Amino acid sequence: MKVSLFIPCLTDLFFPSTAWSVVRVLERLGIDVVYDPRQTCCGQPAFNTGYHRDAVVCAEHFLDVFHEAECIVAPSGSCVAMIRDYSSGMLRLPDRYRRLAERLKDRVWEFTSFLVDHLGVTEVDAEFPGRVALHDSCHALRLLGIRAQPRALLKRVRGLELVELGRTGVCCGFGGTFAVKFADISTEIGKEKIRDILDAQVRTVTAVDSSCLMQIDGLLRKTGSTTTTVHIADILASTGQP
Amino acid sequence: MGAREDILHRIRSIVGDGPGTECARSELQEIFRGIPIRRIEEVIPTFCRHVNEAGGETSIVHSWAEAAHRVRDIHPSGPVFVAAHPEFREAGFSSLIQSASGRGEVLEVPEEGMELQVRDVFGSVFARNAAGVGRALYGFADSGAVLLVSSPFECRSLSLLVATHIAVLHESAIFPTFADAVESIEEYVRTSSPGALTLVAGPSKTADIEKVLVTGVHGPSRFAVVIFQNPPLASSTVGGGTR
Amino acid sequence: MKELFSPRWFKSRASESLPDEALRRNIERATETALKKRADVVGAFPEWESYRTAARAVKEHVLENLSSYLASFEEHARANGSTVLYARDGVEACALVMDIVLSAGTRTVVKSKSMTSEEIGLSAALGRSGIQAVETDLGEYIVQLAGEPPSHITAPALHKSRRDIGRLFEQKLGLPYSDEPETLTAVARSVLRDRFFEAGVGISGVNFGLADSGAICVVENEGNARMATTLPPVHIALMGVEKLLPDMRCLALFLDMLARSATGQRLSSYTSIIRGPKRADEWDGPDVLYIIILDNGRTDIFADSRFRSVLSCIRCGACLNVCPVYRVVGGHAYGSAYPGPIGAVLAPFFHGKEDGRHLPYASSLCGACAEICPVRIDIPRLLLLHRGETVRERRAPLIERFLMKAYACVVKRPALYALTGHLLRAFAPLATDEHGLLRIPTRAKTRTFPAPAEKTFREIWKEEGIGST
Repeated sequence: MKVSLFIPCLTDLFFPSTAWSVVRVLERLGIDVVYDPRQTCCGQPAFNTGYHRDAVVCAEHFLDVFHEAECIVAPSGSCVAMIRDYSSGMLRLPDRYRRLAERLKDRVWEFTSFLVDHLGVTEVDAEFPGRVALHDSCHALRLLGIRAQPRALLKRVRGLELVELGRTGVCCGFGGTFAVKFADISTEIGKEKIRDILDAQVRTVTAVDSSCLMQIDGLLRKTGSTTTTVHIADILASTGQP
Repeated sequence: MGAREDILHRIRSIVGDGPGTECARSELQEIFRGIPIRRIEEVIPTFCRHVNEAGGETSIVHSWAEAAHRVRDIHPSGPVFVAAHPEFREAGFSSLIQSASGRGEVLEVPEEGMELQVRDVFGSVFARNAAGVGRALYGFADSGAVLLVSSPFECRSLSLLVATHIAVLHESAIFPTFADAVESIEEYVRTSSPGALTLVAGPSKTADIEKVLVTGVHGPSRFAVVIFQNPPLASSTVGGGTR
Repeated sequence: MKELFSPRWFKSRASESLPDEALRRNIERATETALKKRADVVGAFPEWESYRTAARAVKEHVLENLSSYLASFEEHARANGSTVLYARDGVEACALVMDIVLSAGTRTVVKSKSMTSEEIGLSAALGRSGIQAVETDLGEYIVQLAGEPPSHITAPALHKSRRDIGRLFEQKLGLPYSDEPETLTAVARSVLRDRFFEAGVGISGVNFGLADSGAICVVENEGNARMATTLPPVHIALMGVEKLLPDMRCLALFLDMLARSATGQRLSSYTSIIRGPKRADEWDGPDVLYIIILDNGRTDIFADSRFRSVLSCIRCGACLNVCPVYRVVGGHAYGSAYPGPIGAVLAPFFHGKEDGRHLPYASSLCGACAEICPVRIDIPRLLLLHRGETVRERRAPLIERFLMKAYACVVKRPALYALTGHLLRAFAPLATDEHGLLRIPTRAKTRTFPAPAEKTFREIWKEEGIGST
């Protein structure tokens, strides 16, 4: 099987090691991984801010790059949800692209969902000692139904103790451009999340989306807590060696 | 153009006159086919449990005398207003309550040729510590609610402007759900045409202050259902039937 | 404060309420309690998901057939002795109410909770004509005493603590201070009981109108709506034109969902199905019943098929309880009768596209509202549609439009995109602090933001030289 990686802009720019972790886990499972450097952005920042025409430009570009891919995997639920939504009619894609989008929809996977739902794998031979809390990223949870998959994977990680947060399924407050437009509100929502995280007394918080973790990390650091944020791909790639 | 014509015109310009009544009816049928029928196990115990959970009380009686005693157990002192239902009268229910141990007058309301307006009776200080004893047409196990109907024999205030509301309900009139009773209710409405039907689930309550549950905000602070097992009341005569 | 009560000022009002710790805890207590109770009763209702689907289908069915259902409702309501009136907007509706109240020769009107009356500013309109409209729902009574608008659809005073309310009653009613909910409730009960008897007119909202019988259904817990619709000689019911249901079987479906979603009860204490004024041989009830059917922008929403689903809303308030934004800013920040996610969808319709354009952006699009909505309104999607409209009509900020243009230009050119990433990385050290975190003024106070990595993934991939396609 050949997997085409889609590395969202945020991951590409800020968390390239997470992208490598995805590569490592997939290769460990004997999967052929390719990366097309023509890829850019899924269009979500434009789409969610109301710039639907600009999002169409992104979507068309994405489809040009990926339409022949056998299987597309991205370490982000939010971006995958966006791509799966290309054909929903919210974006006014030209017919040709809409057909491409329709056909591509079922071939694009969020990383943990790809492992569990598509490959049927929960054991990836990872080791990551310590108490870890999983934050459910909203788009992954509600638009893709990703809830059990990351938990199933984390439970098989050696040394890892999975801790549920007091309130699961509650937003971290990031919300893309919302975090910029309504920075104060975004921060306060995040602080409520931080309360739950601190209550859970964990070493690490993880999630399937780097954007949520960026928000959580930004707030955690201000509290002086030693809890860190790690993308789930980084945990699954980890073999316990420093 | 008047507001009515204007609004109706706007709506018609959006959806036209619709596909017609027959078509609408079959579309609705189709929607309801899509939902499973709710099954309630053990209707009577479930009803009682749900009345209790809604803040009300239940008891099962087998005779009018027992029902009268039950009323006085619930409301030992203070006046009792009893609805003027023919079957209450026939059974001499108010006299039975009067002779049961307890303090406070027992009055049939509304009385024949009542001089005073009902609102004067219930607006008086006298009513503030009163119990109102009326009938419930049906009960619903799923919600623990009973259905009251306004009628010449039972005024709305009887269940509203009193401290304690006691509804007498026949066991066989308890349906699993409100949905199950819709046909029966519609039949009742066709024959008796009440001004108002009221579903009552528990006493008057609020949680508007810090989510603390307080009962008796405006309506009764206590609500009790007396379930009659025997002899059966003819439910078709609850509101009097004949008008 | 009154002129500030517009969604236009959402941001500044939100920044006032954000630091209010007491407010935050009041909201948290109220919303958590409601959500927990809801989860319990919905959890014990295995048919819930299919009920949601059916409820939405019924609402859509009603809209598709609104002409005939409205005609049927009107015909039956008239046959039952009710008077049916129509109002195009709030001004017309208030004028109709005013006429009725004046011809009833009363100065006191009792109101039960009605979102529609909040929407059209009825109490204020009556007040301007010297008519006192007394709110009788305990929460509404509290906020009316405080001179505030309600802050939640089903729990109007949820932003206040018992101590706030105790002090309010002490000040406004001249009573000894108490913060016991039982005592405060008893005070309201006795004050308001007299008002119910004095009032010449009772005003209520309508939760559901039944097309096949002309009956209206009013749902409540306190008994104040029963009183307001029973004791005064005149009853005025305000009903949005979208509130119709075909028949009682549909009502049964919605009753199963409304209280469960709103308060976590199986059924509210009182559900009044009012078929008309009191019958000749009945002893109490109003002599006349006016049903005012209100448009006020609803047919505009109806005409735009993309937004039509919002007319399915049954005002349960569940989307507020679960909304992370609502929970930190509170209801008043929204500056609208309808706060929270549903309010954000309604704002551009009820407050105009200019004043209402901020609220659709005030959402992280987390989707919790859509998940909880009993009639499956896809609120985030509707917010996105509003955002799209704002951009299309060039109401978005200039700088944002410019940045998005630049973004669109970059994303379709992979080389330029790569270069941008490279440049960002190159210039990042200039804006990075000693911890390797970006110094961004708006975020820096309470959050940190990471600096770009030394190399982007695409750069590393290229250098490693492995299998590019």
